[in-house]
Amino acid sequence: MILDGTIQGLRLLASMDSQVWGPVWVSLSVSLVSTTLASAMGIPLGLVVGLGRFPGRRLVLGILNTLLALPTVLVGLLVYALISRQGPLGSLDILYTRRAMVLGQVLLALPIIAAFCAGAIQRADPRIQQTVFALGGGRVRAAMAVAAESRPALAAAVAAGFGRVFAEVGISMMLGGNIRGYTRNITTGIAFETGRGEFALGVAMGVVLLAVALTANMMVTLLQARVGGAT
Amino acid sequence: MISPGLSVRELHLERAGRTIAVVPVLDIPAASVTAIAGANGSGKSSLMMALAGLLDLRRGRVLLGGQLLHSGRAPAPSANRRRTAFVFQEPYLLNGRVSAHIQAGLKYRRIGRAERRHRAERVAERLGLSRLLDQRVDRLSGGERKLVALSAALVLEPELLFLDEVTANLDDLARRRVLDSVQALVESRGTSVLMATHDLEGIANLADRVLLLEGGRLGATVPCAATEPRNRIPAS
Repeated sequence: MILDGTIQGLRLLASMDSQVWGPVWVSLSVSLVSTTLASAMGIPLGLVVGLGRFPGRRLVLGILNTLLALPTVLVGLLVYALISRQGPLGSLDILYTRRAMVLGQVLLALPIIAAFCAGAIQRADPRIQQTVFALGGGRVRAAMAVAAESRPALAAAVAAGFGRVFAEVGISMMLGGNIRGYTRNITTGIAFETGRGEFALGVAMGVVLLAVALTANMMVTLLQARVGGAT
Repeated sequence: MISPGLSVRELHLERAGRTIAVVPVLDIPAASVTAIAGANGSGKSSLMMALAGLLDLRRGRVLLGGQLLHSGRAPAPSANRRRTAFVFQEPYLLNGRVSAHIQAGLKYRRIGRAERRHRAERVAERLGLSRLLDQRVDRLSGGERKLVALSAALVLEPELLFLDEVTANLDDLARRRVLDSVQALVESRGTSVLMATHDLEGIANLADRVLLLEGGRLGATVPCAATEPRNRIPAS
């Protein structure tokens, strides 16, 4: 069954079947938007936590590290409570839309990106900041320099966030609703198609899932090799 | 009358709960070169970083030209630090081209691109680095890295220049170029120079006085003609 399903799955991929490529597009677009938004907030947050000297910094780090293991169904439940008709943000009317999926995925990726960035920044050479200060730069310049010098590690943090949201199923199911042609993505598609015996479709989407994850990680590895070889 | 250079009052420097240096009073005139000597681990680098506003002060004040440079928490305000420049013993060069690193401090001061380039080329020529300007910093030798870091400081033409073991591990030609460049800056801009060094003989012709740092206390200033060990005044 596995071999037959795999062969059929590869055929479906090659034939550009919309039942496969539709969910792939939803997964890619939603995950890229949510990772971009989470990075826009998570990288500066990681810099502040990694470089800052303020009361409660350890507490913030502890919270971020705890949130790394946040179950996706819990995020889905929380956001569901917020945006359902009776919820405080019910008037936005975004439940079972891609926007709702993005919102949930941002909350999932944000602590991952922020915590990994903070860790990378803390491991950065302390002379980077001292050099910027010695040349007359301020804290923002110093933070930018540390980020620039740590860019392979920051890229890895973003890739980790992307990998987490791209492979999650709980948020997409609860907030997207698995609506065919609209919010069905790879993971909810695999769960749905396998459940109704369409094993080949599940395999085809699984292959794409693995291929995208591999591509994202290869890009980070290449960047690390390029920058690592240059320093 | 001596023109006001660096003045230190009641400085107390601690790191990890340990007293590194106590300097009740120190005055260094403008347009002069002062060497700080001391054994390894005596705190020369930390003291200079504290004076430059790069380390927290437990208490005390550092003034330059009568104006407050640093007191309390580091880093000192950017406007204050922009009156100074610091070359570390093991410098870090910001990833990219040599030219970009030399221009970094000028960029922070919002100097225009053309002038930045012109000034960087001039300093690089003086230190024999012209051929390296387009080189990536990771391709440089240890000595070249030191010269690039010094160029990034000299190009700023600061009022006060800190040099930490800047001539260590340099060949004779590079050492002479460094000392000549520092001398030229002192004469042309009236810069005060504070340099931590083991190489007292090497800087004998440049330094006006030597301070000995021992047990966290600075010895009395002595003219550099008296750099022979037997003539140095120890810490009180």
